[in-house]
Amino acid sequence: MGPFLKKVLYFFGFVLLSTLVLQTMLSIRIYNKTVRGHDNLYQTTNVNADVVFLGSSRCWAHFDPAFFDTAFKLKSVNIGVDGHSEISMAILRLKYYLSGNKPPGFAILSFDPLVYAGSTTHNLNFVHKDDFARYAFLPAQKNLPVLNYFKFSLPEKYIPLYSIFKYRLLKDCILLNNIDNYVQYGYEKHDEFWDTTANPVSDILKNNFLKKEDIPSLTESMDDLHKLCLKNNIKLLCIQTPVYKIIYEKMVFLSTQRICKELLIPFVDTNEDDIIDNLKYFYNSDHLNTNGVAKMNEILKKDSVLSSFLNYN
Amino acid sequence: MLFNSLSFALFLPVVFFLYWFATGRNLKLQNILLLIASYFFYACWDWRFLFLLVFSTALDFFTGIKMSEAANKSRKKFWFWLSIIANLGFLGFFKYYNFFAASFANGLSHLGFKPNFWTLQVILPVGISFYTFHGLSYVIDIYKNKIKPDRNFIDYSVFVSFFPLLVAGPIERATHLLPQVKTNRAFEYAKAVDGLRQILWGLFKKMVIADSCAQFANQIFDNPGIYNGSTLVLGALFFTIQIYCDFSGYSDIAIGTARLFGIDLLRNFAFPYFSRDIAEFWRRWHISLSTWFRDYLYIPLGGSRGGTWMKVRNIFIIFIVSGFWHGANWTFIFWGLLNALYIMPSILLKTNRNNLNIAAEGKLLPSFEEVLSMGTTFALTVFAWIFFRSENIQFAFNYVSGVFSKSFFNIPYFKGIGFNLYFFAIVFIFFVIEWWGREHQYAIQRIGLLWPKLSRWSFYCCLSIVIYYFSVAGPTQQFIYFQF
Repeated sequence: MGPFLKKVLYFFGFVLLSTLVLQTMLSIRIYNKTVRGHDNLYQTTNVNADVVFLGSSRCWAHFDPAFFDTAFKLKSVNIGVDGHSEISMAILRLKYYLSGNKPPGFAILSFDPLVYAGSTTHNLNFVHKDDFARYAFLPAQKNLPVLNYFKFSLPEKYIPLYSIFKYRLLKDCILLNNIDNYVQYGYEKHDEFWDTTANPVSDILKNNFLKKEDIPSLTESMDDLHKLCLKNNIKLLCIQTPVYKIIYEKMVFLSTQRICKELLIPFVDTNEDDIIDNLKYFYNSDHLNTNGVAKMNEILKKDSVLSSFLNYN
Repeated sequence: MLFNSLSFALFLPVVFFLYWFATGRNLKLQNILLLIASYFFYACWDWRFLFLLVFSTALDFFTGIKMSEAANKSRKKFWFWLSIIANLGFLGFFKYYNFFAASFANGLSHLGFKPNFWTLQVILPVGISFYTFHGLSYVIDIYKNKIKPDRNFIDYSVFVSFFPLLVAGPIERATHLLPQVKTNRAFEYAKAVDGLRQILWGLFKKMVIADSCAQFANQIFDNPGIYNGSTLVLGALFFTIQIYCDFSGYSDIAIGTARLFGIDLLRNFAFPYFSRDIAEFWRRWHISLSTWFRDYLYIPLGGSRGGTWMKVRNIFIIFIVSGFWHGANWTFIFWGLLNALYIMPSILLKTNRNNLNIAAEGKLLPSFEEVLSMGTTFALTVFAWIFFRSENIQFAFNYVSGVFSKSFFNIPYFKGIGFNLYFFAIVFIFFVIEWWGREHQYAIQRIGLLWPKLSRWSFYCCLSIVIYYFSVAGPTQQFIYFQF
């Protein structure tokens, strides 16, 4: 019996060691490289930009750092988080950025009726949790708030390969061929036009718009973000980027402007008729394509609020 | 508690340590422990059915004693039939009541009557078909004076309820398992290592191959109307691989687990997809059930004695009953009937015992003739599994007509079902290993005998990591045979 138990133990030890070696090899392979394109935490250390862009996919599909670099002579970085429209995530992401960089002079938040308050303690929104699973095993101290936000479990944090297997990252970690537009251009660049056959024009997104009863909590979380910015001497500005006319409701879109006014946060609305009426600027109802981004940038360049905010001219 | 669950991974080592260390290797204590562990294992599914299991066990135990003590033949017959009727009564009620009620009502409605039979929401107790057959074989063997009744209730209960075989077999015989239960068991290093190796292979078959194939097969069988003929063939193929890896994987884990406790169970699978004719297939598929039906149904009916007509009749009976054993659905009966038709030519031409050894024995590769016969047998089996997998007969015929349509010649719709080349490679390697190890009890047994330690351990380690990957990332499916 003794030799049997010893061999069983040795074998399990051998398997554990092998998984550890594999995990280490994979960690080395993906170090400072993107696995799925959205796992951009590693990219934003020691950037020390003048401007950071905050928000969801609408942030990182619309704010082109290259434009701000040339138009306003300010080094900028997009730290939008795909699929996360809540302010709590923007706060988390900004804190993460601040832990590895000098505070930027300016923060620009993509703010519109699709944004809601969210909560870092009662998070129910695990969208794209898999993008952050690469950071889960033996997490670095600075990654902990993000990992805790996604409620990564103990096995995911401490059993080798568990999170990589569970979130099916193995193939991507080995091949590393998911370098998307975001990594190449610093924002998600979409050259394509709206394929209305595959993705018909619809106002279904209106169902996700800010409701009247959400305004107090949203105001409160916006205030938290604002306070965080003030504490770090960051000037906060909100930009409402364009949506296609079918989901544009002026009254609802004005409500976000009112929140900003109440909190004394400067606000820019780019929903001008030239853009929102024209299908060629969108690749879906709430995301601009490259033409749309260029058109919006023209508006931004001329915008006096933005110019004075960035102390340009 | 599934064999591929974390709870079983904790349960097994605890029982193993108690069995070999806490009992002081005292046979009586070991058997009591096995019984408690088995009942706990069973209660994890549904504790209420534990009473049924205990009652069924007690009934067979006492009728066995009563039969041996009976003063005359008629008394003995009484106790025998009491046990048979009670056992089949439970099985009939829990497994077949709704089927008969619905079929009878359906038949009468075709004649213009409007019957109002009750169908009940009966939950099928897990493993009832298996432990009932354990009990039946025991009672029949006593009645036929093949064995003497056991007078130790604990020992007999362990024979019926031993946890590795309790819910999905192999279906044991009193002549094989009871003597092992009653004999002192010494720990054998080689046996235990072999058991662990077989468990590892069983887990690989179940968690890597079967559960992934199930995912693809389910997608296609859930919506056969939207797929072309060639994709439907692919669906049947996936199910063919799934059912083999699922059930033989389960059997491997059961046999391997029993070996850790010093007990050998009957072999249940012997590489059936390498069979060269249907008769050989049935000697290699679910062996414990096939031999059960052979010994307790086919031979008592006259077997191959008597004329051709008698033989044909017995073959049809045994296959239809075997189909019906799997479940209360016409699809299973049709599946049994189809297999009876498949095997008939070899019975009539007396070629059913032509292929007693494994294909290409002692050779690396099969001959062209063997490839052809294996391919034909496999194709026939795949076709029959369509009926086995279908929800009802109409569905099965629609599926088959979908297969034999013009779209049969179109390219299968791989991408739509999430199938990729990586998985194809895994399945291919699996079949290569199965072929390579086909002359052994299970495929990787050969590795344990031939390979040097480092290669062996590396191979087991790779298997473990692949199992780990699929257990975390892959879908988990119930063992198919739990429903029977």
